[in-house]
Amino acid sequence: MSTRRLLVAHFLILFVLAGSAYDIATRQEHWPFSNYPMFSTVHREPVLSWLRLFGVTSDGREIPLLSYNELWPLDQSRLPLGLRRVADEPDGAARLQRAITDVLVRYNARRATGAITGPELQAIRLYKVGWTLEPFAANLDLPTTRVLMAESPGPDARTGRLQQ
Amino acid sequence: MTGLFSTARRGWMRFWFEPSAPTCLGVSRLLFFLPLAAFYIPHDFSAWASVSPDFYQPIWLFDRFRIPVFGPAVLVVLQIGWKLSLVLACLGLFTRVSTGAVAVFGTYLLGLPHNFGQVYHFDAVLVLAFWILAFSRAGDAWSIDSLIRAARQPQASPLPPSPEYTWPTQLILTALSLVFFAAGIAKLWTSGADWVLSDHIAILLRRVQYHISDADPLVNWGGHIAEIPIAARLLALATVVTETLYPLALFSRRLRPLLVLGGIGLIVGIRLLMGPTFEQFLTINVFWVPWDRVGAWVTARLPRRTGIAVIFDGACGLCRPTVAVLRRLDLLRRVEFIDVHADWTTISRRFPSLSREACLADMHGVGADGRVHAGFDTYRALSRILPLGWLVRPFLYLPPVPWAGRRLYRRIADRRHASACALPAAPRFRGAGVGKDGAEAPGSR
Repeated sequence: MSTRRLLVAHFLILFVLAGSAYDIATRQEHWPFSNYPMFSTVHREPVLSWLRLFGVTSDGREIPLLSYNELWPLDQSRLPLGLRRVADEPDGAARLQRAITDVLVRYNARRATGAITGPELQAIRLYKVGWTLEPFAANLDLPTTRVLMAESPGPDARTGRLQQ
Repeated sequence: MTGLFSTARRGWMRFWFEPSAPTCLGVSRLLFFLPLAAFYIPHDFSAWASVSPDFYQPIWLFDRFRIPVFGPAVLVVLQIGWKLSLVLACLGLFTRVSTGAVAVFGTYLLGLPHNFGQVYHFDAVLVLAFWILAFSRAGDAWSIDSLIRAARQPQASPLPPSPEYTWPTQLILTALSLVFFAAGIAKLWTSGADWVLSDHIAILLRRVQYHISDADPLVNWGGHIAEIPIAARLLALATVVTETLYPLALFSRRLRPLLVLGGIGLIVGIRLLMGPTFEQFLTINVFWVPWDRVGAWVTARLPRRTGIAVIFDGACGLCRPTVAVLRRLDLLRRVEFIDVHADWTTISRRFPSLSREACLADMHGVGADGRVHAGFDTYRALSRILPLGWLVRPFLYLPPVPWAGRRLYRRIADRRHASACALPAAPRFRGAGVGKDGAEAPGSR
């Protein structure tokens, strides 16, 4: 093994060790390094508070958007956490509305291509939903609290474009 | 003090740079990239270009280096390049370039979704592995590149053990160990013994039933475990112990199987009981397997018998590279290669029905049952013996492949002395070798 190759190998070894050690020691995340904090915070109370999107159908029904396919490329974990961050920002209300409108437009566009089999949506509403946890989520459809946080403007049914 | 430094230096060098055969790294490369290619090829990254900028919360890498979210057309091009590179890296074709492309494109494409809402942890160690492999000599064995090298240098001996094949594997495994270790330490640091002793895991297993993960749990067993507090706490204890002690697998052969299987169990358990998708993460475990020892173990237990004797023209510049490649593909050591020029006495004694002229005109194969094959049919017989041949064997019987194969073989064999042989041609023997059905050479009787 040549000296040059030995140096390359040592550089990589030290880079990986130092990057990992730094993030672990400082409890930070510098992807692809991380301190891997998932699930590390203890939940002490059997309660859950989560942001959940509901689609509004033409007959006024609200249906929860839960599946990856309906939220693609976002998902049921990434989306609420992202929306929570957006909501916490100074111009949060306006950005939140734009963000959920984006979900609505993509849902209807994908539905038009046949990728989604659910009903066409007229609007999307974002709720902060709370539950007291029950075995096997028996009360999934009966949350303890439900607060409307944002609602998208409805799309034009023919063009799929958003109403101003 | 000097003694301590010297011992530490020796230990460091032994851990990272003890020479090893190229087989382990080569097989691991192949088995690492194969499932990743299968997993990611159907995946479409271009949709991220259409996600509202309001969701965009750049991670450190994208923010620090001002890496943009490209438009859908660019993302399509990038993902095609990446997926193609994954396939090439798996096959070991242009390995240095393809593994480099996997690292560059993969870092961007796998990092991109983490800029939207949440950083997931299933692919970070894969990206580190991509970069490590990009700087490694992972294509020196079990690769098309190594077959091309063998064809170009038929007389070259197999590559000797080298530190080049040790450090990449060790570094990938170290990175993997640090992932588990970090996860264990984060739990203990953040929550201490409460992580195990409280109802945390039971609550967690109930929470995930409310559709809060990127995917739902595959089974509802988590709900049952949550109802038995001691089971939930034992699960928590096993998790923390496995994660925190995982780096010991790097040093202890005795603990390695337990910890590695424990780590795999954690990933599978998370998917089954909680939902988060870590499937790709599992692929990295192929680097734990000592493939050279596995190969030796399997070969030692196979019956010691020759599947086929291949008789070739050792003076032919086309046959020698072919045989060099076939030798590499003969993983089970079931093929005996005999050079007409060097060993005609042996051949004529063992296979009296063969004529020297026919053997110089076409590559012959004599099966264990005494059946003689010639030309294209020798390759077809070899496809039964060589493990890689099993993949193409059905295809070789599919009309019109046998017809086309025999014609192609005939064409190449008849022209080879004029075009490829480095040495003077043996006398041409048109008409000898392959019969119409190709099963047996009329000239060999």
